[in-house]
Amino acid sequence: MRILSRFLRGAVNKIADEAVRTTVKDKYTENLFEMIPSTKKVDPINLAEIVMRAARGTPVPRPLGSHLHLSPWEKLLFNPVHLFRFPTPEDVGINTSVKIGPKAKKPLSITIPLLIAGMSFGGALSKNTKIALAKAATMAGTATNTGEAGLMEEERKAARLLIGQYNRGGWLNDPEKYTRLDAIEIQLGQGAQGSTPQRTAAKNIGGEYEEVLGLAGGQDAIIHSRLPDVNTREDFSRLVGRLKAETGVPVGLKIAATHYLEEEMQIALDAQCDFITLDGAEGGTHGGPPILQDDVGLPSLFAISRAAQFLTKKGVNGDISLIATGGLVTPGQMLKAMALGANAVYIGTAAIMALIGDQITKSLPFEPPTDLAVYTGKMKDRLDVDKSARNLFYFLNACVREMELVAITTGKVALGDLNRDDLVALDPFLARALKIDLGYVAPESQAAFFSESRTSCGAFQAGSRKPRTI
Amino acid sequence: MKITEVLILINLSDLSKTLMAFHSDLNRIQTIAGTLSQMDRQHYNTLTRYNDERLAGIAVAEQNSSRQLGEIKQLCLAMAQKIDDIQQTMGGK
Repeated sequence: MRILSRFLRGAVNKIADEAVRTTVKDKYTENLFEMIPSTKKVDPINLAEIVMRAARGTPVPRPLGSHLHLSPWEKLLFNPVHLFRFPTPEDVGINTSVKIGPKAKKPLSITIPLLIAGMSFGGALSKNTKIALAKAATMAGTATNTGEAGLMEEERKAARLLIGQYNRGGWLNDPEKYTRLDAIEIQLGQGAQGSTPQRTAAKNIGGEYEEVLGLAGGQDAIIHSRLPDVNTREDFSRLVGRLKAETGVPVGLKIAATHYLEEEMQIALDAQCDFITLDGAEGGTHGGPPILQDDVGLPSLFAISRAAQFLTKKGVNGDISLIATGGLVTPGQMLKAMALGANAVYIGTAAIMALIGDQITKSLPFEPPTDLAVYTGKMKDRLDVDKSARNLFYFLNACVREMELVAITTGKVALGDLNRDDLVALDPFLARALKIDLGYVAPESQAAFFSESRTSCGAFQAGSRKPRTI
Repeated sequence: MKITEVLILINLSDLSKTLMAFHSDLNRIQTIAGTLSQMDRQHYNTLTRYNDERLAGIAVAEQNSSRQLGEIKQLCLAMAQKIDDIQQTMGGK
């Protein structure tokens, strides 16, 4: 054994020496090392996707959304209190419950402000995964979402609270289905896809998937860019009115966050939507073209802040619920979204990762962990539904507990009580845009700082926000 | 006064009494929910003292129950407030 080890060490040493010599002596243009700067130049992900496009000639369906971190959540911090305001005593329970659509005839009451995002059966996830998501949501007292699909009986049975997407495929848009929901979300877009059409080829559609979607054999599943029969604002208003009258449950609108969001939201307000879901550019998907994920939309952080300010300006921030989604993966990000004005948060990617949890050992090293959860996954039947549900329930519980700790240190008794004043920004542009104090200077010096900055470099505008006095 | 008006007044009187009873019951439910919620929080603290995976699992379930009871408390408070509003509106008429 020692002889073999000595032989191997000697061989490795010779190979390494030769590799270094070659790297040093070869012309750079012929040098293997050229791969390092060129890969760094285009980025390893871009390199892989260039090669995939070249091999297929079609857009590559990148799973789980953009890898870019477009929302600078790390530049916001919560402000703990000690004497200025006292922290919440530890024996006081923090209220974590939320009502979605408080003005609806039958509002949706959830125990925690975290919801499971719309991820469809078939188009994205396996039946086992959908059932596990529903079970976990029920255990935690929250709701799960059908995604753009039909109504799967097993999901309906496992979910105490189910939000259904009235979708551009038309698969849930039948009164027999949508009257069995606890809330209806009219899905006109998503962060990772904008409002583009999508197609699932018939070859990827199995029997149960066909049944849930009501497809004939051999038929592709098509999501159109527009909702069938909604071609004007008036059509949309009529649809909302009809769904509200027929069901009594909260009816909301889900869109991809966009620079036009105030205009889009005004139409939703005119139509008397009960809630609005904004899916930021970081939103996930089962698979979509990288251009739609990286280059289209508005980052979640800015979208949430603008939407909340718009609802406040319109005087309806207590009446219309704002649900934030898109790349929110830590409890800190989720709570910051709430402090900026969201009433609740949808989680998708993080929920799937939590659900798989320690079961990744079943798929690694030969398949990615998501192979256990997606509809087309080779290992989807190896997902343990009850274990998955428990994993996700634990994750939700842990996230909410972490959020409660921030409520305690900021002196609040409800997660919904946190607001912009509980945050400080570490970037002057962010501070101005979000109407949050800048952490570099004292509260009473904010106006002077921005005024001086404007005078000295013309970068910032002096705001109207009055400095707070302690 | 017409008979129909008298009947309406009697019914309104009954309704007022019923609403008062509901209000009282809701207050009792919210008190119980709050107390149980507090107890479940204490159970969580107790159960997490031990380095035992099964007890830790029960502790998480207790913490979650505490939140759900907290939600019931909030719902009861909101309903009691709604009944107050209805009674005030009826009294105003």
